[in-house]
Amino acid sequence: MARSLDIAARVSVLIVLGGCWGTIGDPENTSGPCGDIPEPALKRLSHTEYRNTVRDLFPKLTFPTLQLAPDPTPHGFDNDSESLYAAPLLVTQYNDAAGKIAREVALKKTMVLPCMASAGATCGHQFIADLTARAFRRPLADAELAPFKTMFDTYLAAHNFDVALELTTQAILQSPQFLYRIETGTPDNLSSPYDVASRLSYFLWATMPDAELFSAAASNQLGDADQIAAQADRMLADPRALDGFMTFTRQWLETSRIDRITKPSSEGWSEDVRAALHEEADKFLSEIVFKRGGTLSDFLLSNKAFIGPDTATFYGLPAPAAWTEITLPADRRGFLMQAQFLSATGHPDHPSPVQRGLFVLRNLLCVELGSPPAGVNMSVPAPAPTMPLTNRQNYEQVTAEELCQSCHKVINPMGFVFEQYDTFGRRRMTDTGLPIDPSGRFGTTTFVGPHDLLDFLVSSEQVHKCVVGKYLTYATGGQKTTSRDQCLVDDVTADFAASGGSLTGMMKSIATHPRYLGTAAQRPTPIGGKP
Amino acid sequence: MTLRRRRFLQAAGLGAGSLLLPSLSGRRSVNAGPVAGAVPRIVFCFAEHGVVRENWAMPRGNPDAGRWDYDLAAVPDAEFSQSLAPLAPFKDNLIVIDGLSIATGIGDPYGDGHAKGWNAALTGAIARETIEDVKSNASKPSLDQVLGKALRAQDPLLTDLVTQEFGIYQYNFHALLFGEPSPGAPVARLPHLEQPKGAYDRMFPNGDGNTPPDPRRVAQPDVLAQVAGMYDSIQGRLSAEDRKKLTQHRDLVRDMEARLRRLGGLSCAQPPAIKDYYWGQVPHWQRWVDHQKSFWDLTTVALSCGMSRVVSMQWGQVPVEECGGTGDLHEAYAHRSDPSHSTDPNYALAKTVMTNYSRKYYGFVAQLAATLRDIPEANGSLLDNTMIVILSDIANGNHAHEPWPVVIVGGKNFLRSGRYFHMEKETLTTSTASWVNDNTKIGYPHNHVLVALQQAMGVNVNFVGQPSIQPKKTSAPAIDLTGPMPGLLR
Repeated sequence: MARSLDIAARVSVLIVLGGCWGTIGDPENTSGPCGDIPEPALKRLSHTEYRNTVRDLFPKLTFPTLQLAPDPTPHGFDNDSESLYAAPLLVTQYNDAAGKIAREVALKKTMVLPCMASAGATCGHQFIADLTARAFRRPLADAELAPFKTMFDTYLAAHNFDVALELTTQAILQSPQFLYRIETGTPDNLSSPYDVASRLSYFLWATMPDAELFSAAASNQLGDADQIAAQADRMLADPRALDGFMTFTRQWLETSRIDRITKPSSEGWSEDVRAALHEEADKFLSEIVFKRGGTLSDFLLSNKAFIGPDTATFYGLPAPAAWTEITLPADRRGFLMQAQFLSATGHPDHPSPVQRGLFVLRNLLCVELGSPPAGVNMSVPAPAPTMPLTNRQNYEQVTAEELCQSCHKVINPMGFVFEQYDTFGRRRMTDTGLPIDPSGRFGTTTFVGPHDLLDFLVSSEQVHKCVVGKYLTYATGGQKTTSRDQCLVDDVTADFAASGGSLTGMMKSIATHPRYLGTAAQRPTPIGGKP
Repeated sequence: MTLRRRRFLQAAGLGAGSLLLPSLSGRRSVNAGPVAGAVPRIVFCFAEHGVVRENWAMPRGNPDAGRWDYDLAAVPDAEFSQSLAPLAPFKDNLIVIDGLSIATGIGDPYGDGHAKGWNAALTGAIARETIEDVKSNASKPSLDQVLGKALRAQDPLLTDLVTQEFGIYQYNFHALLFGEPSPGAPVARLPHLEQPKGAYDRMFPNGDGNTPPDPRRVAQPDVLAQVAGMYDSIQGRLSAEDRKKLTQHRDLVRDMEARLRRLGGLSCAQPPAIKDYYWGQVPHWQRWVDHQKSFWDLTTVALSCGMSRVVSMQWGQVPVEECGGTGDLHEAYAHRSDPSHSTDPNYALAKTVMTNYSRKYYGFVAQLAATLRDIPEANGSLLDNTMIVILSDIANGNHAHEPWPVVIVGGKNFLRSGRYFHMEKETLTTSTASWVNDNTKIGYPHNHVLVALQQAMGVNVNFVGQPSIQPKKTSAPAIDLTGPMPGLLR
């Protein structure tokens, strides 16, 4: 099993889907205390973290687009430490990006330097010490600073201050200590205060530590639980916490799917609609779920949403002049009944119960199904005009074979509950003139329509565990965990339940857990659970 | 574009000694062999969805069974198939191969047809044996990268630009390229450049050469040397595996340093003027066409100057409107163009749209071929020394991996060009699917074409990816995947 799945798997409930390939839960899942703290994995900054870090290193500057080739996301998240290594093109792009940033720094040096350039080498050395301490996320020893100072002095002597500033900045921004999170640790193999600061900031903010975190690290104020909790509270109240939340949430919910679909323009589809659907999801997640301290229940059941001029029609509502928060009609609740999700899981001319069902199974229930077997034609033929079928009937026919049914008997019933919403997410009561059957099931639980499903999901222990697993997978950057880490999983799961399913509460629970921070093997006082 | 050929030959490090190709297999020795002194280059082009075979194939009255081939150069232009018509002007320097199979893709139990093709088409290998993330798990690096590594080993003057990877509107996910693995890590999908400006800046670090040297540019190799040194001295809590990752990064920085030092002294051609747009800056199709021209111009310079010997161009889907359709090309047309959808009311339109679709890509190739043909080199033209290979992930709208269409434009100094080859279904199936009969026959494995291309590039290895594969019928002997396809090498 790939190691990044371990955490999600450890919180999954083992169920058996006879005949369907796939990973459903972890047969080795056992609860228990944590063992020794594992060695930290080297983590290259994800592209999101890289761009955010550059932004915060030079807050007064703006930069042209920094092109970076997409990283693999084998487990759905772009910060998988196993997958983030150097590739030829990426190293070249790091060089290009460093060149662009450094050029801007030199051009606008008065906005960046902590001193007057007229001071020459003295100012250059001060800049180097200041920049490296932030870029490398810890202060440097004199011996580490020396090569940069020598480099600066060489180019200062050969050319001028600007050239020396630019070239030295380029080198710093291509250094391993900047591009990778390299932890120094303590002699007893725990995280150092600076390691803790970075673990907090890259999880909660998806960027580098701020001055206050650095200061706390420097004065050894990141040692006990109260100090950590106070920092987490402060950070969660900072606008950058939304970056951290959205970086996770967009990937968990695969909101980028909307970029890969097309619909007929004759039905009103356009690039503006695509952008508006992105905004719809972002507004719901940021305003209603995050900023209001939302819970998993709010995510699934809230009757609040945002509509814009380009999306109102999908809800059968008059178009507002600008984005407006609304109370949804009674037939809709939560993220899964909004246009963004329903459109993103639809083909041009018909909704896809398979995509909708798979989304719920994989992203909310952590049921990992295998891929279709070799040689299967997965296209869905248009029904013959002489014998109209509903979309559901068509999918049932296409997947009727026993081989298909080994998986589709699980997938289809989960997706069929959304059939009363077309491929744009518009409500419909008939399909090709025929009545729609929105019944479905999961295991032995049956539903009629999405409201039933949502009620099931919101009270499902499996869903709660799955969401915890997803967040932990993201938080740890896919770092390998074993049964030794079970206390982290157990504690966060218990905290999540105790908080009523608060997503921001889960952020704090993870961020402050000594196992996550690497400051102790486990919590000194178990909270909500097992020793 | 002005090319100073003598300078090019010096820059490319292609003295007479380095042009001697290793002796190839016995099967090859019966042929004339490559033209002496010719320097092989290759361009891999990839577009999804295969072809509409009835509008692509040119059987010319031959049976659909058996091995046969004929002289393409004798076919009047007007008799070329609808799809291949854009390549008719190059018919004496063109190879069309019908009837192949991606046997390793067929033998892959995981992923859909597209995924199996991405993993196997250029790797020649079965995907990694895992059911997780089935769409990104090739087990071997792709041939372009294998060639790049081998060519650099042959010629120390080549840099990391020995291979270049370009793409247009191509989500990296739907791609054929897989890199050499990082230590301890599996083979991973290789990113490609989508912006011509990025390629330009890499190829011409000193700009167009018409402006005075910028001290900051001149200093770049030294800056990189300094950076590389930092990777050696790193401290921290690092496992052996992590240290290997940093070592790999360091080596790539050193590669870049070497490239800059080398390109700094290379002035074989004026950099082409390129157009580069960010997404949405201009209409999608205009961006595509302009980026295509820019990438082809860069490709031409890279190949002619000795910067690169291998270039890859990976295409996304041409806008459906350019092919005569609307909506979603994949769903509405690609699948439905297959004869298995012959009762679909959209079948006829789907065939038309998908024929136009593949014709677009062959048209792009024709643009490059025309440019290369106009550049003289020893032993003919740059086109004679460059094999432009057009591949897909699947054969047709049914997600099948046979009969897999391959077209090669150019390279007549190494290949038996001007031929149309038809291969027979003569290989026991490698499929593991329960409903496939053990004795089902599939087309001639495409690995032999990859081997031929590898040997044509002067890399004397007799297999690509894996040397054999077990047929479904387990009592049967393993299927041999070694050796070049007979008759393909010159």
